[in-house]
Amino acid sequence: MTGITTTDLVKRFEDVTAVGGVDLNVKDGEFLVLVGPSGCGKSTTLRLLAGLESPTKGSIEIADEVVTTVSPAARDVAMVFQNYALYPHMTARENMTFGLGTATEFTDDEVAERVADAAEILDIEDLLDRTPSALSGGEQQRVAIGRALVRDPEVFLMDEPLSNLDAKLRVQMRAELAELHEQLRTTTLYVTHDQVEAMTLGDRVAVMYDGEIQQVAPPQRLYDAPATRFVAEFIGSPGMNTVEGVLERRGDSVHVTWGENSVPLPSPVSDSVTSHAGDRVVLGVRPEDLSQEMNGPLSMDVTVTEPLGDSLLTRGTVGDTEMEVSLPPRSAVEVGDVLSLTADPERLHLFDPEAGGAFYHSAENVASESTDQPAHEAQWNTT
Amino acid sequence: MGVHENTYDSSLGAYLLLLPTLAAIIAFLYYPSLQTLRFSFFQTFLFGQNTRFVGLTNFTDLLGSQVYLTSVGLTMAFAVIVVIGSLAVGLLVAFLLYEVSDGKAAYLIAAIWPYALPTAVAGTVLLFLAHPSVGIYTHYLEAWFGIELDWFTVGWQGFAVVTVAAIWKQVGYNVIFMLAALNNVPESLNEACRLDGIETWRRLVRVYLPLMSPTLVFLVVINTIYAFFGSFALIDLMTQGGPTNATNLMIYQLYRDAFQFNNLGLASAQSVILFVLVAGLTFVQLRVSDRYAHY
Repeated sequence: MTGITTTDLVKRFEDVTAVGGVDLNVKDGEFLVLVGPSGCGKSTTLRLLAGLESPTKGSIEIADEVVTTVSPAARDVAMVFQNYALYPHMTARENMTFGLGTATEFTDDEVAERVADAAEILDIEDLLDRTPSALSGGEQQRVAIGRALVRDPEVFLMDEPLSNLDAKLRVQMRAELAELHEQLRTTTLYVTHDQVEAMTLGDRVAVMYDGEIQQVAPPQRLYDAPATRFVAEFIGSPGMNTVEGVLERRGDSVHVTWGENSVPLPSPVSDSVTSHAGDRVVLGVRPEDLSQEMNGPLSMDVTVTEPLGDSLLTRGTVGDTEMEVSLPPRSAVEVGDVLSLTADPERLHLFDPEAGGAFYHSAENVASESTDQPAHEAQWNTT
Repeated sequence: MGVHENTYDSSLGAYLLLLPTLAAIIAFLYYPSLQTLRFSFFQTFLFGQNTRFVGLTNFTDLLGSQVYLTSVGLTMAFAVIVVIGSLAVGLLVAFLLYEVSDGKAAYLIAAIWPYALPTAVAGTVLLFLAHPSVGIYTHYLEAWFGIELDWFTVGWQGFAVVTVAAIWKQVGYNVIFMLAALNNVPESLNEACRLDGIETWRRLVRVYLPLMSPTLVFLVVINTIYAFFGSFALIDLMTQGGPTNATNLMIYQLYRDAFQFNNLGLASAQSVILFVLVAGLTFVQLRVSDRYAHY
């Protein structure tokens, strides 16, 4: 087993807590993506795993061995950096073999063979004798990945490896990385701020915010059943609309109401939700789960329209809250219009307004655990 | 763009703007240089008031003089040792400073302090510290190691002391530049080395040195110039070229001929030789290093 397990991992820089108690479990052969906004502690977490930073508290296991205080070189991990970190004065081949020079377990022939193999996988055979300055960004990143490959490590750690590439190349390399992982099945932890990258690459995705893991789940589950309001707003492009309202009981049905607007929850509603009747709640609904309907329960004053080609993203205010709705392309909507909208009853989410944890996803129509618990703990083992 | 081009449309205006700089350079650099070159073909009397053209006699005299040729050889040896010594010690100190995490600033100040001292002060202080009979260094060398240093009379010892002093004086300068170059090495390369488990010395030699090469080329040139010209004050204060000419470097011989023996023509000829030598060396250094430095 070559998984990674961290237990209550904490890293403080002076009085700033970068990583505040992370319990993470990357399974053997898994591609796990750690995603979050800048400054959320995701890179620090990766650097703690690599051994480039030492934790304030907590422990790290790689391949069933506790490596919390082990030097980076002895952890048998290979890291790919955002800026590639190639030695500028060495050729691509030298860059790939330099780290092997100290490991006496390889003969020259073995080293040459490994480089040839890696170069073939990455399609950089013709570039091996060039220095980084003679390589494009994408080629440099291939060499950097090649350097990680030849070491045949237990674990790959990737720190935003595609961020410095232009948009088109990034999409291409993303697909290649996925293919590479399919081929090698090396346990990989991949850090990015790009939620599209996270969703497309990860077997599972861990969303991090403010030094804490919010949710770890397969991409679709993350999208369908976000454990916290933060995950709901962060995942998806654009993210989920969230609006603060009051949970009202009207006879048999339950509504979330704000201003003149009111969204009914599909019946039957479980007791754990109805028990919140009269409370303030946060309703979450994705832009694509809203649609135009005559005399719908929501009315939006349109402020911005953004034609995306395959859809028309329309922004406006519903009550006092900014919301976005994804309409069919070529919809006749103009700024200043008032739209009548309805929400897909199967795709509603309720969050605790203070703690931010989700306690209701209408698709499941069952209440998850109590809202008192912090969301990231409540959702911890649902994966 | 058009506006800028039109602002300076006459080259006359451009020369006018250059005039102050040109005037200063001509008055204080080119004119004295040409005067020196001219003087080198003359024999001078009475502090240069009476002169007589003698062609290349000054040069042939010098090249035929055993004292002068010894001085040239001595200077070469001195330059090689000082350049290599100050670069090696500087690199070692800079690397240690780069690696250390606590008390960096204090070490840095200690390392560059000698450079901040005026050479005259440094020479005087060293003269006291290493004085053969009253110096504190020489006292402990004798007390602890039984080494009796008498560099006022033993030639090679005098040469060694001056060489060490010259290296000591220059190390701080090299440390500043080398540390700056080391700090320019991207942090991610250090991290890549740590992940690859590259040993300290291999990291210095295989990663840092190549990345520092532009700075090193610059320092080789500057240190060469220092070794040829900058060591005058140390020699003058500590050995006056002695014992028995063992520290009689070219720059000191030149000074003696000019200001002690008032032979300005001969001294000018030495200036020209020294200039050609250093200019030639610098040219070769830059040419050779072009091939090895990674810019």
